[in-house]
Amino acid sequence: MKVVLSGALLRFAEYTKEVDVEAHTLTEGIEQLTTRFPRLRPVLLDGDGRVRLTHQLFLNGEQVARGDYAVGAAPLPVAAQDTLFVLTAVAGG
Amino acid sequence: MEQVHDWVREHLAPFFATSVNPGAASRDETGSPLPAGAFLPATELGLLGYLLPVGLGGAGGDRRTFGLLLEQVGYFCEELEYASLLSMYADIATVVAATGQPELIDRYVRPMSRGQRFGTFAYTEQTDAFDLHCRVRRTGAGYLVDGVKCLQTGGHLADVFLTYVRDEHDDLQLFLVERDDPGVRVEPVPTAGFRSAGLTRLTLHGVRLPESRLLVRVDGLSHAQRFLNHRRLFVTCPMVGRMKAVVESCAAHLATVVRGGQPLPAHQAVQAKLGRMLIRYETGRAVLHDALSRFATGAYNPLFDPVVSAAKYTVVENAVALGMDAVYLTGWLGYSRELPYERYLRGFMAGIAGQTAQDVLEILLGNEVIAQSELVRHLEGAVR
Repeated sequence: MKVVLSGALLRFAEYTKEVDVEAHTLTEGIEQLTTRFPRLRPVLLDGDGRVRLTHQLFLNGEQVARGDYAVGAAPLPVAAQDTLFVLTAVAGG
Repeated sequence: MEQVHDWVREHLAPFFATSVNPGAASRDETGSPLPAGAFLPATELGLLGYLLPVGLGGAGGDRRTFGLLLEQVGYFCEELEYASLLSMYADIATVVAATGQPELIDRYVRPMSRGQRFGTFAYTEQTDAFDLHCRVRRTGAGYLVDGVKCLQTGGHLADVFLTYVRDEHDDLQLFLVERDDPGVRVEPVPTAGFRSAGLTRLTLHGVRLPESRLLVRVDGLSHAQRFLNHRRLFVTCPMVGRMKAVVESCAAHLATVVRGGQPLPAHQAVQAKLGRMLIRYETGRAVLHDALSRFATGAYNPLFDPVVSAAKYTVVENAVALGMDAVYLTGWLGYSRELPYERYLRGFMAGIAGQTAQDVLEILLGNEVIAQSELVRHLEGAVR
């Protein structure tokens, strides 16, 4: 699966726009991504290791419902040819 | 819309005219915050509990109507700070209510709806959202919190601060910090405008909090974004109302001034300037109402809605420009207490920095455009 990062996330991934990961589920893909870029982990994931709700995920152009990456959600299968876009807009600080 | 205008005119405008507006210039001059008593009539009318469910002592009102109410408060009340504080105190109660915890509801929410306790939002640290310095660590049965939150709206009256702090996983957690907790210091923050908003700095030095004060255990960052998304629109509502009041009072004043043997409104340059002011007001009103309607339909991104953010940006830009127009048109009078347009202008300018600075919104919205464009290109490539 190819992961495409944008906006404020890029600086935590050494400004790498596209990252290839080998994964069978969305969670596995995110895990590989944050292993490769450890600084991305606390930005992308909350204390329980779930993708923060403030990030929007698009799998092959279709938005992944926030409930699908919330606590307790079933694993979302992904394939090698899939592309995951991660969009974020975080304000304040 | 007219019903809301008439309701505020009947129920609140007389109070503003006699008890708030006369003291606005003095509070601005001395930097004195609005007193708790100024919110008593709004409390009696149920506005502090407007957004709360009926079962919690609220009115069960919706956010769109509340926004329209704030717009009319901005029209009748000559102090922009008033509506900003009203919306902050009302909205904070909803955050605590959302926990559903009976103890917190009894201790905070019900008194907040009655105007007996006030709460505010303590998030800002003048850093990136991912780099907040305030820290929390577990200590046996409770927590220890340290750090400085540099700006809260309405902190002067706040009994409780909704405080976002980083835990050992660099996640954000949300705690209720009470003003009287040992180790808490609340200080006023002087500013150039918006001076009666009771802006404060919150310092937390070894503040011990029990488990019951933990409001959000994980992903407080997203929680804060959700609050800011609503807040962004509420702060612009009174600006639109004030913009209308400025257009009307400016036109009325100009009609009394004669230059070159003619009343000023007879000069085409003045007509054009007033026309631009009306355009700015109508632009702000249109985008605000469009964004508020998204609250009614629920068809919006609850964490960062581009239309809501663009509305905040547009209202603030037009309000500042309109304030400048008013000062240009009225000369020294508009720079005085007699026609306090410069005070309103300083109030409008608070929107440049507040609830996500204008330049940050430009960046976020620009990133949104770029990301959406990349998504479209990806989909087009997949189709080919």
